[in-house]
Amino acid sequence: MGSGCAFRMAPMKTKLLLAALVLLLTAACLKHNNPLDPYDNPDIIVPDQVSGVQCFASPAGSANKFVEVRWIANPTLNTDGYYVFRGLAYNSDYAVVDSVATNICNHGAEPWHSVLPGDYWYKVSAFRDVYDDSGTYLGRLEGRRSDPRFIRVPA
Amino acid sequence: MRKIIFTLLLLILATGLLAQIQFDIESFADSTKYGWKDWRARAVYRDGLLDRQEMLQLYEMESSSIGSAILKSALVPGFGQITSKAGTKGTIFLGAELLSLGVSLYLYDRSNYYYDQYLTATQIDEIQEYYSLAQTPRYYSLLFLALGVVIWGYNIYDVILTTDSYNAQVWQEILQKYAKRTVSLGPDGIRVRF
Repeated sequence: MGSGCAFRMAPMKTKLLLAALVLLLTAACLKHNNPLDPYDNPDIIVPDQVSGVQCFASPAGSANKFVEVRWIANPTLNTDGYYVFRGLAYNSDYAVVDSVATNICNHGAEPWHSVLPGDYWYKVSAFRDVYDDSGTYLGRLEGRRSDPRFIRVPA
Repeated sequence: MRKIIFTLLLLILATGLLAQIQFDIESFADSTKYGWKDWRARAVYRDGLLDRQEMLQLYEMESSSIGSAILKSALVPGFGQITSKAGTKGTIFLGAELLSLGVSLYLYDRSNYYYDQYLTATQIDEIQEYYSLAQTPRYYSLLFLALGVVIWGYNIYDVILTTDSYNAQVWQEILQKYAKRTVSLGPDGIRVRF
C-alpha cells in the first residue's frame, strides 16, 4: 500500500526510468533450458545428498590394496545409483572412481581400480535417470555430493 | 483570323513601345526613393552589402551543418563534435561509447560461456551455479548496453548544441576579423576603411 502510493506520487520521469529498468532486467532473464534443471519443473526429482559416509582401508601389508566406502542409503524414490569420487586433498579436484547401485563400494575390487598406499579423500553423490512424460530419456541428474571423508591406505 | 492575329500583335507592339517611352530613367535611378540620401549613401550601403555577402560566404565555408554533424555523430559517436572543433568532448563521447559497448560485449560473451556450461551440466550444484554465473553478467551486459544507448542519445543532443555554439563562434570571429580590418584587398583594388 505504502510503496504503491509512493510509486503513484513519483514524478513521471522516475516512473519511466523505473519501468525501463524493470523491462530491461526482465528481458535479461535467461531461460531454464537445461532438461535436468528442476526450476519450474516439479516432475524432476532431485536425489538427496548422501550422508554418513565411512571409509575403511585394507590392512597394512595386504597384497591387494582397497578402500571400502559405505554410506546411508537414499530412498529409492529419488535415487537410482551412486557415484564414488576420490581426491588427493580436501579441496582438490575429485574424479569418479566407481558408480554403484547399492550403498557400499569396494574401491580396489575391480581390475580397473587403482589403489596405492597414501592419503585420499572420498565423496559420494546419488544420481537419478530422468525421463519426460513420453518416456524419452533426458539424462542423468546428479544430486549434491557428500562432505569429503579422509582415509589413509597403509603400505 | 489573320486579321485578328495581326491586330493583337500590333497592340502588343504598341503597348511595349508606349511603356518604353514612358520609362523614366531618372526616376528609376533616384536613390532617395529607397531611403538613401544620395548616391554616396547608396554606394556605402552597397559596400556594406558586399561585405556582408563576403562574410556570409566565409561563414558558409567555415561553419558546420547541423544535419551533417548529427549524421556523423549518429554513425560514430563524438565524430560530429570533433568536426565542430570540440575534440576533447568528441573523444570523451567516443571513448565512453566504446567502453560501454565493449564491456557490454565482454559480459555478454562471459554470460554465453556460462550458459553453455549450464546447458550441459548434470549435477544439481553445477546447474544452479552455472545458471547464476550466466545470469549476473547478462544483467550487467544489458545495463551497459542501455548506458551505451543513453550516451549515444545524449551525444546526438550534444552535437546540436556544440555545432550551434561552434557556428556562433565562427560568426563572431568573422565579425571581429572584419570589424578590425581597416585595409582590405578585394577584386576592385585596395580599400581603406576609417
